[in-house]
Amino acid sequence: MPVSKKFKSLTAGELQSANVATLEDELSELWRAAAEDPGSEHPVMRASVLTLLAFVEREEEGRETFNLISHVIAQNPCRAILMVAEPKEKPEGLSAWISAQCHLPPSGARQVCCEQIYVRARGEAVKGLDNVVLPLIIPELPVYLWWRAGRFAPPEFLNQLFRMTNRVLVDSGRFEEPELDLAALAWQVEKFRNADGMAFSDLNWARLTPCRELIAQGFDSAEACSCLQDLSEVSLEWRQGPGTEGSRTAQALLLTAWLGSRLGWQPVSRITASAHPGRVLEFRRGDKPIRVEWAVRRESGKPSTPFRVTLKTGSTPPAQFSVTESEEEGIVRTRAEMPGHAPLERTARLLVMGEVELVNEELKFPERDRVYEEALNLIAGMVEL
Amino acid sequence: MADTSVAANPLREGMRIRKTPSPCSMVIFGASGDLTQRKLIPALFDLHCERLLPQGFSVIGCAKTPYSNEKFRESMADAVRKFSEKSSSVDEALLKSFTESLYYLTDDFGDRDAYTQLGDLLGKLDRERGTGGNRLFYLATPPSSFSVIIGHLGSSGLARPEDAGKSWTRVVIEKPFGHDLESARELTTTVNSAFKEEQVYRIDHYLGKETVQNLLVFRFANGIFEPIWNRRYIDHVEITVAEDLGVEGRGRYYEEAGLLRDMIQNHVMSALSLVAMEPPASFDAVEVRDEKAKVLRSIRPIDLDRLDDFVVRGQYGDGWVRGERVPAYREEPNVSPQSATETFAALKLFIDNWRWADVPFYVRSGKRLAKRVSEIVVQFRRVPHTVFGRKTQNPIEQNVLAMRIQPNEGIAISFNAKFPAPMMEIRPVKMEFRYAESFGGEPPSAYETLLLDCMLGDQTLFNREDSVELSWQLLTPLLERWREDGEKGIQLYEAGTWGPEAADKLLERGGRRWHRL
Repeated sequence: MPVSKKFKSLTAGELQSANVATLEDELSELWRAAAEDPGSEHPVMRASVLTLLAFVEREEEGRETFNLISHVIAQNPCRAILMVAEPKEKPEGLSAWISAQCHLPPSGARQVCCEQIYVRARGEAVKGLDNVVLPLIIPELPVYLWWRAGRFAPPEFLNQLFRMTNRVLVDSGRFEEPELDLAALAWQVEKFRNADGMAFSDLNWARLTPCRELIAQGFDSAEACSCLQDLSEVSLEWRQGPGTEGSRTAQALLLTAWLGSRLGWQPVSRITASAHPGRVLEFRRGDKPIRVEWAVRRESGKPSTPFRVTLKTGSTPPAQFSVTESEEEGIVRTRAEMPGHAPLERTARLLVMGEVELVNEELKFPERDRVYEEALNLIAGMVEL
Repeated sequence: MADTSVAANPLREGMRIRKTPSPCSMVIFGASGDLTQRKLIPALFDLHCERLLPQGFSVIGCAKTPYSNEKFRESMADAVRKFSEKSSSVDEALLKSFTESLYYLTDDFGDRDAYTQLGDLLGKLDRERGTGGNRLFYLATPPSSFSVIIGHLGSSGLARPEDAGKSWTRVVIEKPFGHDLESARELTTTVNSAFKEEQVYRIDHYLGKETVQNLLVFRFANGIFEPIWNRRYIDHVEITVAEDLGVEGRGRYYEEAGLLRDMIQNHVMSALSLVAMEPPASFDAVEVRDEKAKVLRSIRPIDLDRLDDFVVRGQYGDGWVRGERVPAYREEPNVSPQSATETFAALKLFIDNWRWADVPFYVRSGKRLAKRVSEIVVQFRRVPHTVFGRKTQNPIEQNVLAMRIQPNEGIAISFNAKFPAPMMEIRPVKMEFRYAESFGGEPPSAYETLLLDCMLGDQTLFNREDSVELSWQLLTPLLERWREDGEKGIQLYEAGTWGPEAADKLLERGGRRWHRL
């Protein structure tokens, strides 16, 4: 196929098989053809602000991830390299495909195009995966690794890649045993930070961020802020929904641990792998007990994040602050009840982000998230009690 | 100054979204006016949607038009639907929640009792909505009302925080900050009679633009440019702020103001000071504004005896813009047929300090020019010696760094490269970065950025009194000279062109030409 035609089919989203040994050369040839294409209405510009690596363990997840990446690219121009590692599959070998994603920015006359590379390794060949991918990393730009494979357990065959990576994106919502997997992640985060200065993001933590922001905003006034040290009861309520228990548990743990680590709570309850929403955790702050209840309610709606968070002080009369999802999707109502004041309510937007938006959001931040790390450490502490 | 941060809230730690300010009330004087409807309320609503406004945030609109709270809320809801950045997808539930935080006070700015009423309402909101005694007064009125309002805010005690150290009070003043040096100083005296400088936010929306702020990032977050950012390597600097629009029904205002007051005194001088300033010790309001003021203080006064060598004053005639015939300035509504008001100005300025001695800064701005574009161009000196000599047929071009502020915001650098051929052919090539292509998403509007900064107590992007006065000190003698000259010396240019020929000659005399935009 002539090179310019090949490029057009690639930018239409088609995957073209490529020689693993000469991937970079094949890509260069295509860009040269695109730049010289006289028939193009909108000239093509190749853009990259980072290298995005993605790792999955099954072919079908690979295809799904490949589609998601094509949307990520529109917000974060990058070279994206998807790695599918199937050590137990046959026939053994390494295969690669390339594609390009182009879009026209609102104010632009040029198409912005980015490369997507798909590398699949089967059997023993997984050991050669990092050797194929390493030369494709763009020098001098940050490297992000999207770990889309459940529990974060980096295999040895990716050791070299991890040394080149600035930030790893995991999703604790995909963890099978959230309590143990989050505790294990706390250990990995510390290990990689000390060895390579690598930072971690958790898409499930990012999912909770809008909710955490709304909770934090409720305590911005000096009077409300002073209530934080008197908190005695916290209730986190989720909607019932299919297939979301792992994600809910991880969120409940993260939200609880965020409050606990920020407010200096000492864990009293030990958590185990049998933990699930519908339980009570106990903490102490000095001599004051704090009770955190997770509950699942029979409410309709999407169960992606808690639909109601209530924080209550132990004073008499108590102060109470709540964030509650309204019936309208993406809208929440906050309510603050302070002794001696009329209740204060407001309506706010609660961003409900899909996986692509979450990844895009996390790609903006290359630095460590110390608050997340401290929350993870508290979870690890609760597991070890 | 009162602690304005919310750092004391431990749950705030590590939050990535911009800090939300402490709960506060914002009082808008001139609430029935155009600025409130087109810019302020839509920007506040957009901040509300982004969850960047604090809980309990309240707005009190003040104007002479007799409105009830409900009527004001309806009117502002309409303004949001029409002018918000998110106007195509306004969420009605959010809008309702936002407008519930709006209140209205029919106010004769000159009536002392109105300020007692205002104080009572602010106190009520503190109690009911937890706004904590924090107040932001926004003067969205014509400048003629500034002194009356500020005087009453001072005498009624509203200009000072009730609980010093725990709450804050600030005032935002819209440009123009006076119409010459004397009036600017009078305004400063009036403002200082009621407020301290750290309470005063002189807003110039141009400074709230992402790309203007990026000038500082470009200069001070990249190690490769600062060492060559001086007279040794830079031949000259050009700043262009061009509009293709005319006065758009604002003939009466423009006849009083003219282009020098409307654009050069504020936007262009701000851009110039950011390009030429020394590195501040930190990105802090005092440090940044100190350095900006130093630049303005170092600009050589314009030599009025050799005006033609340094200044061009122009006015547009009729012509064609975007395929449409447009009238001359003097044919615009509310413009005198003999008007001597300038709609174009070009200046050649020098900054007398070690970094910039003898480097000309050419600035130009105008209405009804060939296109809407704002750009800063830094042209570097030629290579000191051409090693390729006669082997190349083309002269070697000077390197150019162009920073586009609007539209298509970005940065481009031109350099020379060998043309692929057996002989030594050298051609200039361009390396370009564009925001829209490298970073997705829409940046916040300038008013969103600046309103939030006011509430957070960050004055970095606001004009300080010394900078305003220094700018007027430079330009007032020129304005007075033009007033004396009347029509004499004004150069007519055809609408839809790049201004009078004299503006080209201003550069040609130094062997230069305007960078093609």
